[in-house]
Amino acid sequence: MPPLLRSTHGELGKACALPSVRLTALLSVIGVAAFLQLTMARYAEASSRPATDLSLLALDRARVAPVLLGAWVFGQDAGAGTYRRLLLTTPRRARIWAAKSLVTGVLSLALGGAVIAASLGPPLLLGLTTVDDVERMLPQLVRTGASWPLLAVMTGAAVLALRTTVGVVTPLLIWMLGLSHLVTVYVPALRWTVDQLLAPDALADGPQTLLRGSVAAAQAALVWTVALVIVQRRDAA
Amino acid sequence: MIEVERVSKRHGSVTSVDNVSFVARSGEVTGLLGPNGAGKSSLMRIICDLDHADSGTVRVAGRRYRDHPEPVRVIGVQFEGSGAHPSRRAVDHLRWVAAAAGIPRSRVDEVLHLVDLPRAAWRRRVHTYSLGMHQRLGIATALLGNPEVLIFDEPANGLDPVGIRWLRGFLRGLADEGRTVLLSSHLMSETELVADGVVLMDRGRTIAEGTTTSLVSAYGSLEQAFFAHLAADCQRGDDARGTVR
Repeated sequence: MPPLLRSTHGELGKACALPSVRLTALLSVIGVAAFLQLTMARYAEASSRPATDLSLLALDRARVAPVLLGAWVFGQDAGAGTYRRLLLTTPRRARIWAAKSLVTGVLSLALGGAVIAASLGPPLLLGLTTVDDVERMLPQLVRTGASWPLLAVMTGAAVLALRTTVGVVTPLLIWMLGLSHLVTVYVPALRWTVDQLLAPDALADGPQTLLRGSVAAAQAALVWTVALVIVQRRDAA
Repeated sequence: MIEVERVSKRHGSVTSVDNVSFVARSGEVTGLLGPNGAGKSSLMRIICDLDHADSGTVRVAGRRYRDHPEPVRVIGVQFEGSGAHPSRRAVDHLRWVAAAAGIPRSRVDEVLHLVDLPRAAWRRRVHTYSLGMHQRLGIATALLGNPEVLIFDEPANGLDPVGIRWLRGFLRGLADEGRTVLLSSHLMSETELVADGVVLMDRGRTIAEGTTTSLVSAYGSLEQAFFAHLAADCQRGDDARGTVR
């Protein structure tokens, strides 16, 4: 087996054996389905918003999941002892980076698919949306799912480079779940920050979708590269 | 064999390793001795490529650590504790290391038997482990690739008297199989019982080097040898400073 594949195999086993990874995946799927079930039960009586809007709202809130997933997969080795063991097992730091990114990307993509399915289940079951509506939404949902690996890998890279999970995840969640939208009102240029670009409503069909996706990918790639350089140069002590 | 040649390392204004050279030979236990802060762990980290040396070279089994295609199969390393994530089980920890190094899964059970970790603990989360169990898991991880070179940083920390006795016999057995064993410790009396050769360090420098037998026969014990060399080193330092003045 080639070395990168071996490292990826090791990282995958390690990630899947971590309780916090499994819990994050489980709670994301259950959380989105429950949120929609509750909201739509009320919606059926009172609201006039289309059910697909609520699915997108649920997906926007569910972006916490790839952030946490990336943080767990990379951050599980942020402690002094675990970091040493990681580097002793695979001294080529670029290989670790590639393996962790691959595993994070694949897991977040799979989780994205599961969460999207969970976001569509309740409206379909309650008869509040039709298969035609879902088909219309599909390209947007696919783009949302595809944006999750970017969020996850970018977060994870920052966590391992700075060797702090709480220090990266807490401000990032505060930023993503409210502060960013608030500040954007006063500083319109912030509409080009990665979290704004990867929000489901920003990924709606339109001429700017490709540009927005590319800018977001470039920002994530920049964070990933800078983090790798930090990890390469810094001592493990 | 481990060859350390003129290795130096500075952390800011502090020189943690200062021009250290020594050789740890196959079939021997080599003790790296010195008080806390002597630079033993810094040197160990440099040997394993965890830290970058400012100057000097280190070769482990003929190459730099990172130049080994699968270092786990050639060099087994244990730093303080187990290096396992607290919420992982011992078997899961060993399995990922085995998977990443291309080692068969069956080896996991073998090494857990070798280090005498109670079977009931294999599937327990590591955060429930005592310090001694952490050390045993760390040693098991080091042994996973059946390596020819073994590096242990303070392996006796947290072990009870029974564990320390077990460790002594265990290290001796590894060396008798022809492996190179490098052991860092501040427990001089304990090292005296197991090491064939010793390197005495203080403030990042080597203050003495030789076989345990020669140092013990000259000074009575390794501890006496350490303090005698430390005093001589301080005297040389004072003299050198006097010359400069």
